[in-house]
Amino acid sequence: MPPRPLAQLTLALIKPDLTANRLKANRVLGHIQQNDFTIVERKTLLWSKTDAEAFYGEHRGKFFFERLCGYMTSGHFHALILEKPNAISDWRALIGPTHPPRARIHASDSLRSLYGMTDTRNSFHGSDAVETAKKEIRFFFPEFDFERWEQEQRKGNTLES
Amino acid sequence: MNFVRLSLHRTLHRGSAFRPSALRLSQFHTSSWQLKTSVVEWGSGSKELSVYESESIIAHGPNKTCIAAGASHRLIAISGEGEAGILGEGMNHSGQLGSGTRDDKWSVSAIDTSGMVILDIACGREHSMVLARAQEETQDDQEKRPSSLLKETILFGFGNSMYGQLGLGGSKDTLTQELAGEAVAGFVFEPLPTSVQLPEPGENVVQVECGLDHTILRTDQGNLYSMGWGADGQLGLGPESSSDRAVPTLIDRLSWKAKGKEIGRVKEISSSTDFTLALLENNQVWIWGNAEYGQCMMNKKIDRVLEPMHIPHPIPETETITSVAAGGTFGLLLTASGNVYTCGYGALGLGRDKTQILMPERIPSLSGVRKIVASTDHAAAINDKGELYTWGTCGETARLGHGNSENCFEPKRVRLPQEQNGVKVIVRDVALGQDSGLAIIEYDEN
Repeated sequence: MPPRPLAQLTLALIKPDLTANRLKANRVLGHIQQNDFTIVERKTLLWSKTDAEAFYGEHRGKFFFERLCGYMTSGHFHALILEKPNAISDWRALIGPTHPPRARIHASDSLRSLYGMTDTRNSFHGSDAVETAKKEIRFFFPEFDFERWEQEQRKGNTLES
Repeated sequence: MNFVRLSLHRTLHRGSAFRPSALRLSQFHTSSWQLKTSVVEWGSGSKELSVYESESIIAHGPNKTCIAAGASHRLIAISGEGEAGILGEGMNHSGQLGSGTRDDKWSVSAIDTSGMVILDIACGREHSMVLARAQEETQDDQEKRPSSLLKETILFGFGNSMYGQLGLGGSKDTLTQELAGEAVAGFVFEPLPTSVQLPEPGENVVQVECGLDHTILRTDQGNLYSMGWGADGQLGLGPESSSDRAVPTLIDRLSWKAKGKEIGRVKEISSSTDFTLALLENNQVWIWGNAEYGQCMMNKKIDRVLEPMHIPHPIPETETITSVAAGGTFGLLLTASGNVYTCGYGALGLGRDKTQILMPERIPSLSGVRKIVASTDHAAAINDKGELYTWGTCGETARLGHGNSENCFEPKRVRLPQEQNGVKVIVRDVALGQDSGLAIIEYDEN
């Protein structure tokens, strides 16, 4: 029997405009489960300006920095650690193109098409690579134990094979 | 159901000395086949169009009814003798239904506005604005009261004010000035209709428009004020200003008492999503806010327009612009000849192959149009026969009112429920929110 594909972690955000509408946010959680992601950890936050600038610091100086930080401090939002084989690319494929108005024309089944609002209020985040996922998970969940999670993955795989 | 009473006393709504009155819910829900005016609602995931009929709406007719829709809530205001109120329905996360509470489920509310005429209502993403004045009373009363009182308007705001969009002085940047809402650490909202003060007394708001997270006011003295989110220039306060404002702040460039005197008086504003179009008495059109899809109608995309900019020649000189409608990624112009022009990005009404243009083009399938309305991703037009057309992207909310989730790249007529019985229906007004729509209709049951 071939070894089970190794699970991967990614950091997902359900941003303030979507969190503000619990009916829609719950439907998004349904999509997450239907697409075989496991929610490993989850918390709800309300950011100060300082928090937002710390997370998006690499974008400082770009024209959208101010509005990105303004948006992310506009209300409570959910941070989730998602687990699945290819979690990073699968989650980004599920949420779809960055800009909801474009997604509604070109990727109408994506989550940004269905639940995103505008270019600024694009309602979702997903880590773009293994290293950034690790960094972003550490940012939101400093208490998360990566080593233990990796050990459990290896153990699970050994038991199955 | 929570009942709230609006009062003409400007100060009543601050603090807790506030007692809901016993508004009779039944007065809004009785229906009778003698009725000729009703409100039709669609969207929010329902494939059906639902008819909302009330004796009050019938008795007072379409001119005494106002409708507005936000991202996930909508309001119907009914003015008139005896029975007057605002009905709210939708999400109430920030108290945007004005019921005095907030909650995270689909809710309904009723605000008693007896003694007042509601002149205008507008909804943003999670905030609501209501413009009212005192009701004209009997001859005797009018003699006792100075007539100036009837020109005096009062603006109420309720819902989310994280960016200061209610204009009540509180925002996430000024948390020290708490609004009256129950405490949620770091979250700024006001669930009770609360009066908004202009910087100087004696000036009256005559029009209110909401973007998703900002508010624009037009006054009887030809001035414009803005409050709320400013990062994309939504507030139009000048080339150095993109910060948020928590109180009504003068837009110098287009206000009569400032630089606007050299330009002309504004006769209409339309604001949605993150930008505003203004139409002047001299028929010039101006824009400010987000224009990254070319909705500025200047043959280019501009990330953000921080100060109102004149749009020099949007359409042929032979046409006179009579109305403007700001959407999200596009804007609309209506002409005296009943033509509709669109510019920007999206399902523009120009067919599937034309989703991005930088100069306005006429929507060929629309003619004889007398009213245009736009929201973030979709638009509506009413023609001189009283027919309603919608177009844009749709999604699972069914917000276009066609009973499905299909995008419409060209305008499509909305079939109203009453028409199924062969009844002739005239659409008087339409309001579009991000998830739903409302229309005021009149029909002849015979």
